[in-house]
Amino acid sequence: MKTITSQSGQAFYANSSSSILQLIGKYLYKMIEPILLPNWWQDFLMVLPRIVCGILLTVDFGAAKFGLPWSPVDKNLGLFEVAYWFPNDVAEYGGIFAKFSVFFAWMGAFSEAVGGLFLALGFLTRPFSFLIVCTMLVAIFCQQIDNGTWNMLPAMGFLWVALYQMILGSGRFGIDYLLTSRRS
Amino acid sequence: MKAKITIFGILLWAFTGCVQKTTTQTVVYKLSIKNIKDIKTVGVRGNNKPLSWQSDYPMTFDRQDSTYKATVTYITGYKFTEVKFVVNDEFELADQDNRKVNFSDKDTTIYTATFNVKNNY
Repeated sequence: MKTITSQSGQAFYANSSSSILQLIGKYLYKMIEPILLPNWWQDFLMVLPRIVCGILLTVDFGAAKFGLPWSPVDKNLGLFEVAYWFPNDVAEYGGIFAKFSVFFAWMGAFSEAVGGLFLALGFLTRPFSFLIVCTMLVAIFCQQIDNGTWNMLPAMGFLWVALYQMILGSGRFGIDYLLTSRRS
Repeated sequence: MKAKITIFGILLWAFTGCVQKTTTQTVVYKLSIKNIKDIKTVGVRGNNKPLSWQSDYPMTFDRQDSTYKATVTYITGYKFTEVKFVVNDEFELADQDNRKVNFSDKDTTIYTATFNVKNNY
């Protein structure tokens, strides 16, 4: 009797865990499935700013404060380490940023460094675009707001690109498209 | 339970252990100044605290070797810092890159320079 209960329990857990996985898969698919424009050349034009911004974010802005294999050697950053000065900068924004400065600094640097790479590749485009949008909003309103429009422009540029990528997804030119086009 | 401990460990690492470690680096700046008369103020400016690009970190004249000196202690994770010297509120090396000061493996780095002349090391 015990054995039957145990087996039925295992079957229950197996069924429930597989249904949870299916559910996650379904939502993940919906999240990354890109909206395709009518013609391929329209997707091609849309991919140019995405790749340029992604590369700039991961190679320049991100790698300077987040440890990646291509971070400058003399910055002395370990893999996935955030630069020592960045949490202090984030803490100066005050409020919740002062309380959880390490978390927000790490997330901001991660969004730029890893998010930029994924944005360029068109992989998990929407979630990483969302992270980049959040990071750029913080950069604009907490860091650069008093420094004039000119200083806000880089963050605003990344914000606009990430904003429409968050809606469209990767388009035809990205890993998300390769992953989702096989299923459909 | 194991999963909870693992998740807690990952979160703890992500929120606390992932910030670059810092060390204390002391740099002694020694500056020679040639061809400038009527020197009123001499300082060094840079991009790591306690230096800044807005105001001088004062350098004092050392009669023994006729140079201006400043000892600066940094708390940094990097292996270098960038500076420029300033005389009478005027920056040296206008329109040129900053001086890159590489920290030595020992506690103290001695950086010797001549105002407005770029070092070759």
